[in-house]
Amino acid sequence: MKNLINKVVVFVSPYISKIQAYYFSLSPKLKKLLIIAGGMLGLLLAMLIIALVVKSISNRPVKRVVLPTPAVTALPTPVELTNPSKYATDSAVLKLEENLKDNENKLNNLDIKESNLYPPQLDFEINFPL
Amino acid sequence: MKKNISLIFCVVFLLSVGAVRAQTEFSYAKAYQDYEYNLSQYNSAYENYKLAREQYLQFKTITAKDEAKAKTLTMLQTRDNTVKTYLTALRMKIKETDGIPNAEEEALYNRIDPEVKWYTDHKGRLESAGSLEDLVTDSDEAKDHYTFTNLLIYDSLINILSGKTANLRSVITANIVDLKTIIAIIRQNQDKDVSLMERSLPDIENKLARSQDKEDEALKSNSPKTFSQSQSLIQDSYLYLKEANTYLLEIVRQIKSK
Repeated sequence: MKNLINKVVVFVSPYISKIQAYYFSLSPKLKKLLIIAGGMLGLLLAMLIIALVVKSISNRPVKRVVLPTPAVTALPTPVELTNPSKYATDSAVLKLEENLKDNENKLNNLDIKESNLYPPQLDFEINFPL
Repeated sequence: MKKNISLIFCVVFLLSVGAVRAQTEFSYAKAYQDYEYNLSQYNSAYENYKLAREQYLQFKTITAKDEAKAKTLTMLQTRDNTVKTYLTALRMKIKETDGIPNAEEEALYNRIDPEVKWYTDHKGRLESAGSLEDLVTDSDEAKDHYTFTNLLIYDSLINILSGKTANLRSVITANIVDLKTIIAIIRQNQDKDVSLMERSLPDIENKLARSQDKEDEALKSNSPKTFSQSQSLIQDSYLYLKEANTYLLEIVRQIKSK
């Protein structure tokens, strides 16, 4: 490992010293400009890294807790009369109510379009152009 | 000898019972099933016809022409069968739909039955066609006739739809009569105010009258072109019935409450 680091240092050091020499040869104005540009580049890189991290977190599948669906039980909902009259139990009234509820069911289930009875699509344009 | 006679008698009796049962069991559901089967046969025959036609038009060989003739014949036969079974299904639907006036029902049967016969006869004639050109002529004959059949189809359909609303309207009308009797009894007893209920009854009757008007209008302007318009009129008629029934239920609820 040490050998590898030494090799890298030996390989890189001439380039670093060249850059250093180039940097020191620059005018103070250019040095400032270079620092500002470097800073901006660093800032951009940092923002890019942050964006990538945020994206990877948001894309991670979230473990969902599956809640058992309660079984739907159809309960009759009787309309209770809060203040029933003496006619509430009258047989004629009850019979009429039953008939009207029966009508309601029929009306709700009535197939008013009968679309399954629409005529079939048949081709009557039979020809053999010669 | 006696034994043989009784055996023949038993067989004839069983056969007649079977025939009667088969006749009585024929319903709209069965007729519709027949129609669906024939339609699927037609669709398959039509695909074969299209393929044979393309091949004939491309190669123009005698073999291709023979094949095209055979496939056209099958397609035309299944097409006649489809129309025939469709009309039968329509007839059964009319029969099973309450609310179509008897005269109208009979008039429709008198138009449907000859149509069924026409397609049966036409199908029978197809077999004797000597060439592909003859089959095209036969097909054109059916095409011309179908214009007439189409009118009957839409007439039957709108009668079926209006029959349904007419039937429910007559039931609701009878319910109004019952309600009026109950209200009259309550008024006589003088133990409940029924004036509001009595005032709302004409409104309900008006709804029924409007339902009838819509239905009449639908039947008047019936044709294949105006079918959707007639259908929407029947829909309006149906909505008036629904409203009327809801209002009646509300009155009953008022009667049952103090």
